[in-house]
Amino acid sequence: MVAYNKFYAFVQDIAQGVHNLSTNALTYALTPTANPPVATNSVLSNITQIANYTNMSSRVPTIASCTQSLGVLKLMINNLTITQSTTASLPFQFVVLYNATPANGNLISWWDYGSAVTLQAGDTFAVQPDQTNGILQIQ
Amino acid sequence: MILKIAASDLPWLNFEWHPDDHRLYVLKSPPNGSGVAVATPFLEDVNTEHEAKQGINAFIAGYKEQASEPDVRTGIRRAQHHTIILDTGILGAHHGS
Repeated sequence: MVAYNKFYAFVQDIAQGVHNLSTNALTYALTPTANPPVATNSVLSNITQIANYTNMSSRVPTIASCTQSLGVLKLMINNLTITQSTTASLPFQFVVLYNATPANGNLISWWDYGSAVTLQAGDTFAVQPDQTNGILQIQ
Repeated sequence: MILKIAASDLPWLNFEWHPDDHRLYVLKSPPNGSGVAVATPFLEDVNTEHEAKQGINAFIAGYKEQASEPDVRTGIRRAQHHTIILDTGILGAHHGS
């Protein structure tokens, strides 16, 4: 299991109404080994994504639920398998969750795969949030 | 009692040791996480939990080694399936009860 890393701006964005975590288009961005995200990044333009996502399937996971119970909000996101077809992907190492609904693409969090991976045609990359505790909780 | 063991970095694989028939089984799920897992016995005469874990470790080592090699019949590279399991982010503190 790979550690969750928070972008500092996310808590402010929550407080100021940037995110609707129930309905917005939460999306995974991929960044290369040479360009790791840092906590002070706040919007999509702050990070360096791989140059293109050619022949890669959707990076938009399905939001299963976003509900509060006893004062704890839990955001549940379904597993997503990204499939590469026809040609190889560019190498990437970091998976960044951001909100594609606001124009700036406000950042939420990121995870480090641990090494660079290049998907060849037919390869898959499964992104699997915790299906019990959710991808994030706000307490 | 059946001993169930998961392969932490290969989430589509699970293992069971059945002490009653002394066999180790591998349960393989489709990589996308949906569908029915298929159980296949791969090692017999397993008499202790320690032997079961040794057998599972050997299976995983062989599985990973084979996965990176071309298909033995066609020479064509096999598709690779990578998985990142995301830890939960806990934001804020819980106050009160």
